[in-house]
Amino acid sequence: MRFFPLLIAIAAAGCGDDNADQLCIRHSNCAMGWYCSQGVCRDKTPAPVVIADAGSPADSGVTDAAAGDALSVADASAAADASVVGDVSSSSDASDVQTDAAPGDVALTDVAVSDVAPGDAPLADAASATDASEADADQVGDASPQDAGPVDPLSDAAAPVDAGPDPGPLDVPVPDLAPDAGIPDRGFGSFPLPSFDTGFGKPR
Amino acid sequence: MRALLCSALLLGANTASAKQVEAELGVGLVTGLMAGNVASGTLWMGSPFKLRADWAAHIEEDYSRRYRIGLEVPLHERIALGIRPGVDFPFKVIGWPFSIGLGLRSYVTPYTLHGVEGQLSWRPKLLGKIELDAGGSASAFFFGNDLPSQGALIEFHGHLGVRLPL
Repeated sequence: MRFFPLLIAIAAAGCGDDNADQLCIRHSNCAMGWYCSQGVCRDKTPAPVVIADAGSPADSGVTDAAAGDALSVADASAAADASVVGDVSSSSDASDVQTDAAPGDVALTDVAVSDVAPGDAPLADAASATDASEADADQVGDASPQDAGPVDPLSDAAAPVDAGPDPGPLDVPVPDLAPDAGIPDRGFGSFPLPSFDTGFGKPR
Repeated sequence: MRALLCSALLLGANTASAKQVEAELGVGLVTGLMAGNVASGTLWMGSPFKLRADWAAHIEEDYSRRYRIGLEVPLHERIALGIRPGVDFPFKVIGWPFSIGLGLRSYVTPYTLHGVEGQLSWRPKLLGKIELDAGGSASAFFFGNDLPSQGALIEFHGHLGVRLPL
């Protein structure tokens, strides 16, 4: 019974994530779901992408955008430009942009539309942009300002919104994967045989 | 009477053809070291234990070489199935039987790994017809989806087993 804490410690060590820094030469040196790259076992599953402004309040407004949230500013400028131009072809692009927009961008779009003269900007664009404010964090990469269509000189009406320099898509997630991440799936997970891992082949 | 004669001839023919293939069965364990090129240079690691079994035979009383086909299964890490076809060349040194073997070594499932292997074995009589099989081998792998890109693998194994004439 006095060895119980020792057994617990050994079991905890055995159940730990010991593949994180495990050295390897072959993919089969790593555990299931891991692969070998540059001599180190790596997880096949990409790390989850966390968008910084995903939880910002909906009515945070211009102040929140000016606070330096690059994604919000980029999305807002793109949406505002598209709405000012009033190009039907670009309105869909604006919708695409706003589809990826954060909730905090709604107030920015409203500001831009209110500054535009009647007839220049179809309200449908603004409405669609507003309706599309449900953020899809996985498609932030689509939210480049180039999708917003040509920039019209009239877009100066939205100048207060674009007050800061457009930082570009700084929040575009970059998958943390090594070049070997594209190796074909060898179906290890579907091989229902017991593991005989006794730890012999692991580096000391 | 003719039927009995034909049966005797057929039986004799079968006996004669059986002598054309003098087979033996071998089983053993291997383990050792493996080395591969990684970003920081050459990495050495312990190689997992593997269970090997092979069937080998002299063909048509040619005792200068023995053809074999074998299977190999790693006993830990990821389980896999490998095949080892090759040819052994028996010889004697001061009365002790040895054998040099050359062959291919491939893992075929669930991952693939293909290479070549050379081995040296000492095969003294152990008990009756049973032979001990002790020695070492070196393998080099260059192809297969188990290797990282631009990688190569070399394994140095010691092996120990027995061989049973069939």
